[in-house]
Amino acid sequence: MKGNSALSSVAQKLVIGISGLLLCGFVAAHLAGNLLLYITDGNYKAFNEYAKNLHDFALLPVIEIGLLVLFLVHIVLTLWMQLQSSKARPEGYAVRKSKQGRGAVAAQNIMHLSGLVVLAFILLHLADLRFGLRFNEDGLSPAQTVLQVLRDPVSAMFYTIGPLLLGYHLFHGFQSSFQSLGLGGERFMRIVKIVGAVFAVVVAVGFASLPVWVTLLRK
Amino acid sequence: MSESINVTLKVWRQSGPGEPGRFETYPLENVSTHASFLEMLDILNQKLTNTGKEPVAFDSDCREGICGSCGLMVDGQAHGPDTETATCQLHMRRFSDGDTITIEPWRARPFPVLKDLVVDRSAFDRIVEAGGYNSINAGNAPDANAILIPKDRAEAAMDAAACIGCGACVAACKNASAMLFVSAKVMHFARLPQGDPERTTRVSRMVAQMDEEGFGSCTNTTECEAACPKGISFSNIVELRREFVRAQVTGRTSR
Repeated sequence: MKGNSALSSVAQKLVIGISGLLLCGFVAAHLAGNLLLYITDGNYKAFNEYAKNLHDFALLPVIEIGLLVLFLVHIVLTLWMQLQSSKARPEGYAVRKSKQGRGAVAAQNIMHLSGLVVLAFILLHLADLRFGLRFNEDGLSPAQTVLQVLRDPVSAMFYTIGPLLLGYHLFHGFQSSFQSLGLGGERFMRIVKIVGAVFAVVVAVGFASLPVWVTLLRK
Repeated sequence: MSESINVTLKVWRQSGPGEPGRFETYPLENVSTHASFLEMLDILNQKLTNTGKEPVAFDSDCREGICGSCGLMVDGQAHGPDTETATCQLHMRRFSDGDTITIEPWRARPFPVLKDLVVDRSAFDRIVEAGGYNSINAGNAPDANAILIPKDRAEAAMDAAACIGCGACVAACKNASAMLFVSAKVMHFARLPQGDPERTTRVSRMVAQMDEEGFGSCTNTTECEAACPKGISFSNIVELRREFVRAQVTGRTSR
């Protein structure tokens, strides 16, 4: 049987949920580091020291490979699942209307699209700040490098839109992950939904505020 | 409210399985607002028959909302605009004079259209055959109250057992997932002591059969719960996953 040879749809969703929650942890840690940029004292001393300590951390390559695996699992499995689901309805409806009053662009209806935009943003982000493909000037401090990237109009746009869509992705994704894990008691879910919504807003505003701040306020 | 209305029907017509289908438009005048939706279709069919045309094929049996045979996509909503209402319990008073009503069959690969608005839902039967039963020899009927079941547990099992297998959950889901149906069938047994001995194999086999039939994956949009004429709770899906994980880590799951 197909259900026995491959990972079942329930197990796939479980793996997507776990990888999603672990990625949420990464996002939270990343955001905490980024927000140090707002401490401008001593020529961004706080951010520069944080960046240096992170780069000098011996286990960094291991963490990076772990993150790459998490991203690949989350993305590949989701796209595979989406492909299977699109095959489940070869002929669509002429008219479609939600009984929950939800529009076609509700967070839960466009998870793959918001995810793909976030992926595009992450690729640009990696090219800019991990591999230095577009900006590669020697002798800049970590904070100066970030500011240089964010002053670029193309980057500023992507670094604003990317996190906003990530927040939208998390708005459904965070609480949905718990349900995929089989955790969804009534009281528990009420709390998870609130925590998820707050987390989504903090992530979106936290990350997207930096390019806005750099472009508009720090001329 | 006026006692009768004029409506225009856009109905999916398809002569047989795998045949190309199309929408046909039928104006229908002086429909009583007291008529049920299916009675309205009966009136249409009488009219079509009288003029020598092929009547519209649609499923119905009890016409009192408990058998699960009827099920139509009415203006893009499974069982029409009402909540917790099967198509047979939808009434024409819900519509206004001059409305155009689009009527489509359930759309899902595991539910192939047989004719017009009738789909083959035997995929659901095969899922139930895979594990939706008790096969242990339980002996004679026990004395009343010999097996104590907390009231809330019995109620939760009964709520899940209210599923009539109409397929609205699949029809309404953007992924054509059958998880609400399968979770209702799994959980009404899992919550009772009588269902306990087979709970490990039951969930594994039913989920495997669900995947085998080609239904999509659940992405937690809860659209199924909103479409369900029996108000089956989405929480059954969450509990099915717990039941599934429990089966994977504790028991033999081979078929």
